[in-house]
Amino acid sequence: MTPSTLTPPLFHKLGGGIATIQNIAELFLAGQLDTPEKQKKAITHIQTTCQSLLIELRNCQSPKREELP
Amino acid sequence: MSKPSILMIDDDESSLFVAENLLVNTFKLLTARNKKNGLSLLKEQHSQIKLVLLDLNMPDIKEFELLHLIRATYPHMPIIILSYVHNIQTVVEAMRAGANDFVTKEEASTVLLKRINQYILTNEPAKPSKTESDNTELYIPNHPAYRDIYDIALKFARNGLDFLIQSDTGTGKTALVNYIYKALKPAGLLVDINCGGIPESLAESEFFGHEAGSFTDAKNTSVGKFELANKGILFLDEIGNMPLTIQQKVLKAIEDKKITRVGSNREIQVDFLLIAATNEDLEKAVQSKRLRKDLYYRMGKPMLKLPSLNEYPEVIPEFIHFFVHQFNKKYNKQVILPPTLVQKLQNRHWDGNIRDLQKIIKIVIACYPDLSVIDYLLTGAETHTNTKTGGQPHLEDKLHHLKVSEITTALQKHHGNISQTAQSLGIKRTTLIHQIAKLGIDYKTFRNN
Repeated sequence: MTPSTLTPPLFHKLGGGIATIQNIAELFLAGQLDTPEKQKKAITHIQTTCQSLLIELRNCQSPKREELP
Repeated sequence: MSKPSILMIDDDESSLFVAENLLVNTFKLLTARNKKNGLSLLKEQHSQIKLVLLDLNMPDIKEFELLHLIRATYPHMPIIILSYVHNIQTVVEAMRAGANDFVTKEEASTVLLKRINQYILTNEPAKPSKTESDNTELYIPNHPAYRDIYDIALKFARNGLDFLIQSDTGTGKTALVNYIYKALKPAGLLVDINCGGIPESLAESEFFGHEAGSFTDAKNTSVGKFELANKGILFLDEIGNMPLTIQQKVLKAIEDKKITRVGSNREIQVDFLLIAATNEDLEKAVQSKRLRKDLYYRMGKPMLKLPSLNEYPEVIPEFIHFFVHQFNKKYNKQVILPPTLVQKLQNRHWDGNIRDLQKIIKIVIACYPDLSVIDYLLTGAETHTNTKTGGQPHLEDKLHHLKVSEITTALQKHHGNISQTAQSLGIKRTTLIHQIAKLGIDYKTFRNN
């Protein structure tokens, strides 16, 4: 079976993206995002991060169907 | 009063957004998205910039290049690396290249503010102060209950609003005042008066000063505490114990911002931020006629309450970690407390709050490795769980100490070099890294030994 390729740059991108979402969640919980503008911006950052993570994951080489056990 | 500036160099918009919202109440965040802008901002504003937050992975530059450049040009500038890469090699390399600290992006929301505060508030030389607390390092737990009080107090102070801190003994009232002083950086001194510690007969002279010859022992003119605090902060501790006879004059001085030295008719204008503190219910002091009602109304509001350590036991490990570090430095030791002991301390009821915890950690570190002292100190302590082991250290504790001792000795011998240490211990490098993380050993401290 060909393993999926999780190269170091991709690994870092995934880690960074997840850390961003986690940090924004913490900001929400701590009440730091206290205006609708800040909240809207935060959601946009989460959306952008998720989109970029999805693109990275789609581009990531995954095992072919016939190679799966 | 302007906020201290921090420069963040990072190409990731989301990271900048997070940092901006995390630091907005305490710092002014300058941002640069690439090497060129970062260096030019540093060049233009380096005297205002108190700290640099630096990402390691940026498209236009090699991993440590910018760190080397900044360190070479600004040798005293505190630099904290903020990165999502956190393998041990990168951390070690960053520290070797001159970073002061390393924070991973995933822990940014919980530890970044605290780490920055440690560098800005404790590493910066403080202005001269008349308090004896100058040598007390500040620690603000990363907990909303503490952070909020510190933020509100700072907001009051920045807007020139006097306030009262009413909290149990040992909860950190003096530390909060020191924090305000260091953050505000006023032109004058921080002058503290323990209102309960001044004899009634000397109170007026202590508070307002006296002219030479104004009474038998007044050989020289003396400046009082209120005058000393001009352009600074006047901290009236234990306000409820202030001699009754002086209270009216104190009220007048606070209201009019004018004082008159004993033996003089000349009024002197003074300007200070007033912070009062007490550990008692001031309404009761008013009822029992120990405190004037008008003084209470002037100083009783706004009132801030620092939490007691028992309210938020989750912050105890943070304080323990801080005090262990503080006393390790003082006693030139490298003690790491076993998790079982930290748990014991966390479960204990702390009547004396932070001061009590600090004292116990001090004794433990000073007497280490004599473990019997720990059991002695905790014997009879009120705990929520039964963790007493009949005076004998727990087997888990013994193993912990043995492992820590072996690894730290080897790390010391090999100046923190992981590969050489692992080889000398006869274990794999990865096993050593795992053990270092598990035992909470700060291997960085061995780098320069």
